Amino acid sequence: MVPQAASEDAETTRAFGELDPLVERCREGDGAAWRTLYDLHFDFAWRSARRLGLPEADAEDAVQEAFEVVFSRLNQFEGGRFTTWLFRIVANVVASRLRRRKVRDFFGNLLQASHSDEGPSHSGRVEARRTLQVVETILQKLSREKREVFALFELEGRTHEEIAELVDARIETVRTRLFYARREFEQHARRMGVEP
Amino acid sequence: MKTQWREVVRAETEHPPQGAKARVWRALHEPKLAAPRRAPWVLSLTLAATAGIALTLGLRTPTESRTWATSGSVVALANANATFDPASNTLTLKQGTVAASVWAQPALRLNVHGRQVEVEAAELVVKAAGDTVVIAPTQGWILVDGERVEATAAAPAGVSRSDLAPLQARVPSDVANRQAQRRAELAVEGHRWEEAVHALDEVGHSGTLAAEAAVLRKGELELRQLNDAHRALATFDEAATRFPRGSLAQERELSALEALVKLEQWNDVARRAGDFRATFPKSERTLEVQRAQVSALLQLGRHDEACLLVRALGPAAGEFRRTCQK
Repeated sequence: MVPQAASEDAETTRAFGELDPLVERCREGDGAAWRTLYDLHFDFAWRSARRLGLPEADAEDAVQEAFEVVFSRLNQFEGGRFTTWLFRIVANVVASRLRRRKVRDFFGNLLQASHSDEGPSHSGRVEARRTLQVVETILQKLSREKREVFALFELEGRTHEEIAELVDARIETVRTRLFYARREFEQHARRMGVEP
Repeated sequence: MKTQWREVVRAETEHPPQGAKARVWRALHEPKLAAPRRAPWVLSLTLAATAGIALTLGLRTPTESRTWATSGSVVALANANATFDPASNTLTLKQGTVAASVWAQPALRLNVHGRQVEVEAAELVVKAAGDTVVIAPTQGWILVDGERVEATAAAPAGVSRSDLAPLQARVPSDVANRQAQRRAELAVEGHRWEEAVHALDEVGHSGTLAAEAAVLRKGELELRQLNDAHRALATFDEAATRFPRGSLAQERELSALEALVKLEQWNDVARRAGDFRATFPKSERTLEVQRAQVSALLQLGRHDEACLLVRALGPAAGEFRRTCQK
């Protein structure tokens, strides 16, 4: 569907080929194995956090928090796809951070302040950053369930089957959530000046 | 236009910013100061000590020496008449000597003849004899009636090392490690590099992940703050021997390369850079390492090898491309 999906799949499959012994080695306390596990999945965790609507300023902390969970709970990982497990951890961290952010914004309107911090740059770049901010803002307005399905489908190019596995829901549920998420996204987008 | 926002968002979120992976990895290994969790035996010791203190209330003669510890602090009472309130972590000293070593939350509060002392990161001795009160931090800093008092290099008047002796004998190794880490942090904040290096050396003697991080940090201070590349290299080599498959092996090798470049040991730079690329082929710092290797090979007059690498680097080789075109 989206060119990126194929490359992402290939990368994930390659990672999986090495994964089982790698997780085993991590569990045995092999420091180098931890590093490999981290190196293989850092970009995935980062991208997932960003595409779930987390602003760049929060992404580093969120990924750190997610890997702290991974490192402390790897013994609880029961097998299957490691990236599925990691995605759920990242999604939990993002949901929790966005909740806190909503509270902050409500009281201090901090989001606007952080947007106005941007320095001068070329007009194309400014336009791209603005689009990104609008999409981030809309994603933050969606419920967690809709946001995850929408981001995985529209930005990650995942299939319904893959999304169902990642969010631990039935395919029919994924389709329904996606339908309503798209409708809500389009309404917000038009209001905020982005053609959906 | 219809799908433009998707492309923009994908492009903007595809890759983390430069250095993010390394920054997060380092942050994952930095020691965090947590509220002390009392082990059961420590708790019983604390309760026993507290009960002991409570029983002595109203007695005119000071109690016998006692010591108690949490995971972040140790307090020793030498013939002191004192009461302790565990709810507020407050010790009220009437007569005698207290030595305390506190390097983690919650802060210890001391009430001595109306003076309020707050200790979060310090080792100190407090003496109350008649109307005379001595409050002396020997390491770190404390707050006395809200004012910060720093430890000085010289021993404060009225305080001897023997006042701290009961404390030293009772510090468990995990508490000692936390203390040394905190002392190192404070020393770095105060730009006291040698002191930081010594504190990190103490942490580095254990076999834990924190020890590996401490040895590496020590080497970095030696390299970048003390400008002693020889000493730093020895520290990195020691770390390589002690933690050959450590979690911070990649950072260690990069810092060792930095030291070798400073020392202009080009043979070693070329060799170690090659080893790095073979060991960490997916490192986000590969490009830098490759450029260091090219630079070293050119210094050694090994132009053919250098230019082979330059061709592999392509546009990323920058100014080296011109050198190889000549």
